[in-house]
Amino acid sequence: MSAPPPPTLAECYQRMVLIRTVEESLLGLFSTGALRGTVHTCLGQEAVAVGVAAALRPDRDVVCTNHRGHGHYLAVGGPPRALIAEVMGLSSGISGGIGGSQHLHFNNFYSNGILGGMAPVATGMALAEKKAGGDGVVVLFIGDGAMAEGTVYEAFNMAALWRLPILFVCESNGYAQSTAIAGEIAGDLTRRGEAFGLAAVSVDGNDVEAVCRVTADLVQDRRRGSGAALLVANTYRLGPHSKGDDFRDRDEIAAHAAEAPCRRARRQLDPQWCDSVEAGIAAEVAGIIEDLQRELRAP
Amino acid sequence: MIQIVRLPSVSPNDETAKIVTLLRETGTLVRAGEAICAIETSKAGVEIEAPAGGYLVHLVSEGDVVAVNKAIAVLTSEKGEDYAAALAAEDGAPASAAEERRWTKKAFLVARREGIDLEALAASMPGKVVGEADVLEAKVQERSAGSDLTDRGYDPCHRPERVLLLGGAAGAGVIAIDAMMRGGLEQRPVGILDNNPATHGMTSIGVPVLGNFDLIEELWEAKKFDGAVILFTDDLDQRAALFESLSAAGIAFSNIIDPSVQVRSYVRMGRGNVIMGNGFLAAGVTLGDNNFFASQNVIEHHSVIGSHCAFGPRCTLSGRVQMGDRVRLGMHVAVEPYLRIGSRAIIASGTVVTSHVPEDVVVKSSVSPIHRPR
Amino acid sequence: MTTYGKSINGALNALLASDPSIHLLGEDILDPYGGAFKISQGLSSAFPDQVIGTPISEAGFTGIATGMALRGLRPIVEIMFGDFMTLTFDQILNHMIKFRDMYGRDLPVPVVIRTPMGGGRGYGATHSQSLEKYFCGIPGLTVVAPSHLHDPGELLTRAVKDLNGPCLFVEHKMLYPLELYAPHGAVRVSALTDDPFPTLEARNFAGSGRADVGIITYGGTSRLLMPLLETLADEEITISAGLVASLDPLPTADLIRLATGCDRLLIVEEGTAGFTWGAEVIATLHEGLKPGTRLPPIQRLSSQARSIPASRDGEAATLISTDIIESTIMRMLA
Repeated sequence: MSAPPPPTLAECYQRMVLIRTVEESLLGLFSTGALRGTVHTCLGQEAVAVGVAAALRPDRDVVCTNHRGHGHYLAVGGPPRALIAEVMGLSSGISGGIGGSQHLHFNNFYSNGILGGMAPVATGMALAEKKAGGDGVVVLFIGDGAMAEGTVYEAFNMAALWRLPILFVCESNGYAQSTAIAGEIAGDLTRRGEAFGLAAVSVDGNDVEAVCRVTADLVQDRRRGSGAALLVANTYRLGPHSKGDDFRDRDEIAAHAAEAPCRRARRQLDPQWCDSVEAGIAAEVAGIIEDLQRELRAP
Repeated sequence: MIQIVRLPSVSPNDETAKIVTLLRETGTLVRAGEAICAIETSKAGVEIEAPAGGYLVHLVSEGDVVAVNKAIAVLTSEKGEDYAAALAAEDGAPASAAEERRWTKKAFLVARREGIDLEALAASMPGKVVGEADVLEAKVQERSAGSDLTDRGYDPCHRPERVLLLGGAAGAGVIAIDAMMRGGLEQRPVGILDNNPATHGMTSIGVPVLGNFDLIEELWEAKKFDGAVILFTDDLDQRAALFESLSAAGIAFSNIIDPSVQVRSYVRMGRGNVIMGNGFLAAGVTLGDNNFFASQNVIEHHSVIGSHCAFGPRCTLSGRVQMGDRVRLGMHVAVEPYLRIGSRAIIASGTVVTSHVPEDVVVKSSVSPIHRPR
Repeated sequence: MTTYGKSINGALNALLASDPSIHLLGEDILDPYGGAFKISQGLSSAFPDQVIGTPISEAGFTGIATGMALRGLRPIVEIMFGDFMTLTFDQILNHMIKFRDMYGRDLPVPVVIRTPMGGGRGYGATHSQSLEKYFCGIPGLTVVAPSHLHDPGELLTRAVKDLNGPCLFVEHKMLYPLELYAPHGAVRVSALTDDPFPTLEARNFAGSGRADVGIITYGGTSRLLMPLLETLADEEITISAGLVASLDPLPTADLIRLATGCDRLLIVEEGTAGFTWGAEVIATLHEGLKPGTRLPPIQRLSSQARSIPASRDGEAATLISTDIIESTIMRMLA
């Protein structure tokens, strides 16, 4: 029942910058016409991905997520190159170029594009983990929008009834596509979890250290057989819902951008060091993209 | 007083139940509410209680599987009371004997298709159920009574028109028979009548010469053919007279049209016409009865031809020619448009007709070929 | 001789005993209730760790089965009434069958969903339907519907052990109490191939000649058809009936063989008229014929396209029946 050592803020920062850089690069690639389809970026939500993943053992624990899953993929150790290749439609992509941005599978990580649909699937995986007798846990990432789907509550009910080792992480980023949360969620998200008998906690999703701490505790409890839990992480989506799909107020976005996870972490780190990290990661990602573009052009 | 106990419906999924144990014996006096037998369904085991007091008579045995609502016991107010009548009255009279079946459904279908009188057939085999084989046997017998003259084993479901040829045993018969044979299954030549006794008993490409013309009425009465066609053309008056007398006698005539002939829209014709190979009847042409056209005759649009005419090979009538009856054309006659050719006219081979031809006139070109040695 | 329901119960018993990774999930399947149709009776007592009683959450526990299968277990899901399959549709179409190939690698999802379809008990519009046609044509989903001429327990065992992928196993509630069919009288039954979900042919005449009418059907229609074969034999009307077990994928070779061995073909199903399973059969027959061979005239027979009434007369006027099949046959022969 050993938990991995909690990462330092610096390590978290590096992981968050990687996510941010990859997402920005993908949006950039779209503008050059190099990509088909669309991407749902998690800009502004990097702390949830990194903070939750920090408590997991990717070789043993399962992560299920949705259409906005790139950050979760990278946070559990998914290779960036295979992700970008996938979005570029290359057969060297993590899903063979077949799944695309929304349908990724790597190790014990699964994503699918039907909102709420993975909740029962993840619950079933947790049932299998429980039966396997070890202390593996399942984490399901879900957005505030998907908290309106009925299957989520069927999953909550059975997960709690059977005391399954599953942590539902709701990334409440303020919007379901174009609808602000006030227009689609009644009542309180955390209390919904309580109503079904889940241990329910909320956290400032943009404070990566807080997310690390809270998740570590929740995951430990799951490993001890305490049953299912819900973590509501409050955050904000800086990018559009999907590429080119944003009608929100610019000032609102700007205000949240000032409090985005990377910015907040940076305030507690050496700015020069942060710059060098960003430059290094930017170079690494640019290098990967250059490589892949060559691969794309190759006969 | 008789009280009948019926098997109740215990669960909606079960239409039967098994009698497990008879709890009280037949003949014992039971009180209302006492359990008299235990039954079992797929869902549960249940005890049946007596609805009233009385002497118990079980109607079923242990191990029986019984349908819901069937009578399983009787309670009588007096020991040994007869309950049979009461039971029968409640359950209704025994099903009346099913109407006796006289034929199978297949026999019915086949009889209808083949036109066999099934009632009569059934009456002929009382006490037996008529089957398909019986119907088919009856059909065979019916067929052999009135069989065709030349039976090549045709398909009984498809009935071609049977044609009797009058004359032509020596020559024209061949082309007429050939035309019918090539036309698929619509027509079949069944025989030839010819007044030349030398031809009797011969066959013309398989079609037998049966005798003189005077056989025709007998053959017609016996329904041996569906239509006649007159093939001789040497005497058009005789041809016409024969057609008219036979028609008056009610005998039907067929048209023989070689399959290579083109008959265009709005063409009308009577009966008894013969149109040989590669002919062309343009739109709007009208023909009467009993005409004979050798091969490659072209009748252009809206021309009208009467009856009993004979054309040699390759004549051409242009548009809107009007021709009467009994007209004879040689071969390669050409008639310009809008001309009238009167009845009984004769037009020699090779003539180009450029003006109206009155009745009873012979038309011949003034230029005749000259013969001289090589 | 066993009944259709007991055959399935026996197979479930043997499956659970044979492999601890096999699980059964469903509503009200625990003893002593043992399932709405008693098909699960005795199982939870014998295999308490492998039989899971669920809340009323068809989509939820179908998805749970998918998750279990992805992580190495072999779940069997019981959906209490086939009418409730509609609630599982997204979990099947967008999840269960997609995981196999959408990640660019072969990720098998061995889930068998069992459910009873069919009317005849007066349960009304939402408890009597035959909805299997809506699940045919889903890539990667095998749809099996045994008749009572088949051995349903054997077919279920093959679905669970051998298919290694999603399967919808359609039972018929009216068949559950019936003894499995034993040929008698003029009727002969044979399997056309040794496929795992074989098409069975029932003929009511001897010899290999052409039948007056060929019938293609599946599942619970067998209870309506077999008595008819016997009475029609008496009427000299020859029938060759193909009872298909694999609705999707279709057994094309079997269908062609049946279709070319009769003078008229009737395709019968209990589902509603319009966009039927039979339409796919007819298209497949046309596409599969060798050049030069011709199909006989073909007709489809389905239940009426309306909600199934609960009353006896209403049901009889809406659902296919032995009488309606017979009168259709007679009309075809007229």
